[in-house]
Amino acid sequence: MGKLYLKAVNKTFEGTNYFFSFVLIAFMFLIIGSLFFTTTPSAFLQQMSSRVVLVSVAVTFGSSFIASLIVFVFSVPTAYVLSRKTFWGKRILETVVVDLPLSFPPGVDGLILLLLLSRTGILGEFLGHFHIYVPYTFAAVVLAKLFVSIPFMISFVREAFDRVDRNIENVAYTLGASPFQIFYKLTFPLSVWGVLKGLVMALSKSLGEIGATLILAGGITSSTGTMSVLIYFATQKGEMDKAIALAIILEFLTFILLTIIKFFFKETTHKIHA
Amino acid sequence: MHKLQLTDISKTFGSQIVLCNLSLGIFPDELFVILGSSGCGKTTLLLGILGLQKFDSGRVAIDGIDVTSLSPGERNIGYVPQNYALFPNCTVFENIAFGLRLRKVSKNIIQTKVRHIIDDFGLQGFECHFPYQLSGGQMQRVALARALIIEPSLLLLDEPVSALDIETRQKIKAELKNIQKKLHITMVYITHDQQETLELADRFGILNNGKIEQFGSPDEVFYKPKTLFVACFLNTENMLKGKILHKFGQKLTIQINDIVLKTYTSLELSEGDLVTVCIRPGAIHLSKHRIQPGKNVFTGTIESIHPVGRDLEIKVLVTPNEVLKTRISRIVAKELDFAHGMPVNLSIDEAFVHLIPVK
Repeated sequence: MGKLYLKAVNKTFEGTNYFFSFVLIAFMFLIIGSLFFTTTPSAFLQQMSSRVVLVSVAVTFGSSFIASLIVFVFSVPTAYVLSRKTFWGKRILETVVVDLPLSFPPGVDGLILLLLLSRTGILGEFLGHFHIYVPYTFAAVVLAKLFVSIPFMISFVREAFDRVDRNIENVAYTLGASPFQIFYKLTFPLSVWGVLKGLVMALSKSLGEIGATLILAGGITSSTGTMSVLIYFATQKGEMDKAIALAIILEFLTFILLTIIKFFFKETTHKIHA
Repeated sequence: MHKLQLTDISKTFGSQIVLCNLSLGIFPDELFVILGSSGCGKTTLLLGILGLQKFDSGRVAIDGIDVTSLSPGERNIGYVPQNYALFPNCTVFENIAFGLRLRKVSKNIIQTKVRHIIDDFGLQGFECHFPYQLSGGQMQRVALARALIIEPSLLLLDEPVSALDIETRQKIKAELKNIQKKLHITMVYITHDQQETLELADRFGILNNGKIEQFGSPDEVFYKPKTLFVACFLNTENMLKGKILHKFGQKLTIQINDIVLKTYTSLELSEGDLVTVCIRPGAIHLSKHRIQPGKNVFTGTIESIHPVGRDLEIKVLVTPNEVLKTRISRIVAKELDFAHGMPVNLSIDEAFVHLIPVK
């Protein structure tokens, strides 16, 4: 009796798991796949040849790549310092640089940047002396993407540095290596996949960013209209073919980036740490 | 002159005192073991000697030269950590050659030296392997070769065999001892394992409360612990509280509850002094037959017999209050047919009775 009861409970448990998983997976496929069924290839191609769409693709890609490059240059040293050094106020610094921006809604990021860079803002006023005005320009798009993706990058790279065994660095020191030699011969090569994973995540975050970009850069179709912003505007105006075409491109690119992370980085990481 | 001289080393972390005015001299060509329990400061001491961590105060000298202010690379100390810390992105050859390349040694010399040490350590055929493709024993040898190829003044090993299985561990320990004797290199070996210490050490020191509690040869420390901590840490089986009844020169008569024990000591003790009497099982001889009456001959009853490794530990009730523990091999025990409750005779060799004054 007891055994039969246990068997029935286990069967029910497994069945319930399968049922809910199936419902969720079907729902996700429906949402993601629905994009492809709501347009026709000819309508998609027509939108793809439109100048506005092409400019938005160029603005999105250009700004995302530049932002990711700047993020890489600044994040690697910052993550290294956070991983390797102990100093007073380190926890507060981590909260300000990584945790807070990660938990802020992108709209708040955009507002902060706008207040800072507007003509009356602290930085905006200073830059005004050199006739530099950032809001509603391509630089604003880059800055908005940079601001939302940098905590991701620092978080990933720091984790990658943390995973490198400190004994490896200690042995290298005793063999006569300098801190720089240890970094470029051991620490960086050993965490390179984590760094690249962070970079791909930052790029993925940049590509889809809308909140901060919309507030700081507006959505000027010829210069600051990123794909996400244009999707928003097109939906508002009822230009569904344009919105769908842009959404398909974004969805496809994000899928490619996530696939790279899932398969390529997982296997190589296993090999290094085996 | 000492190869490594540590003088008044102190280190604290916040309010925790890890090392406290520690001084120690290690002779050239000896294998010195620092033995201590987890968290006693072994690793802090090692990192400080290597220069990877700064001591709050004190001096580290190698061959009489003060190296306290030198960087780890300038100290020329080989280091083999617990997990070997091989460079995962480098092959066996690159791992071993790492130190020489940093020293800008010519390619030809690097090739020759690395090939030579690879042959010596039996790593032929593994030159192009990465660490994850090696066994524990092979990784250990690569770590040793990498540390030794720079011809260090001394070699520091941090529990280097603790991650290996028993068979490989025994093999590596024997190899280590051979390498040390062959290359005449001074080794400082850190461990928490007393068996390993007794097998390997020329001399060893016990680290406790930030100080070396006692150091000397294994026989000296094992059979003549100076403090109760050392006696307990080295698992001295019989530690009995006693009082000195008579003293004549170095000869003593000690009262331990209902038994009277005769021994001799060079310690400055007086009649009436309280002492802890330490008796190793090897000093106690058991017999089913009558032993000629003489010094330290007692009768008792076997209270229990327990297997301990390859031996049996036999507890003998000598008086209602006193139990003595001894060990005999299983084969001898089988021949003598000892059993629980059996009356036995025992004699204690006075040469192996050690006294610790009670302060």
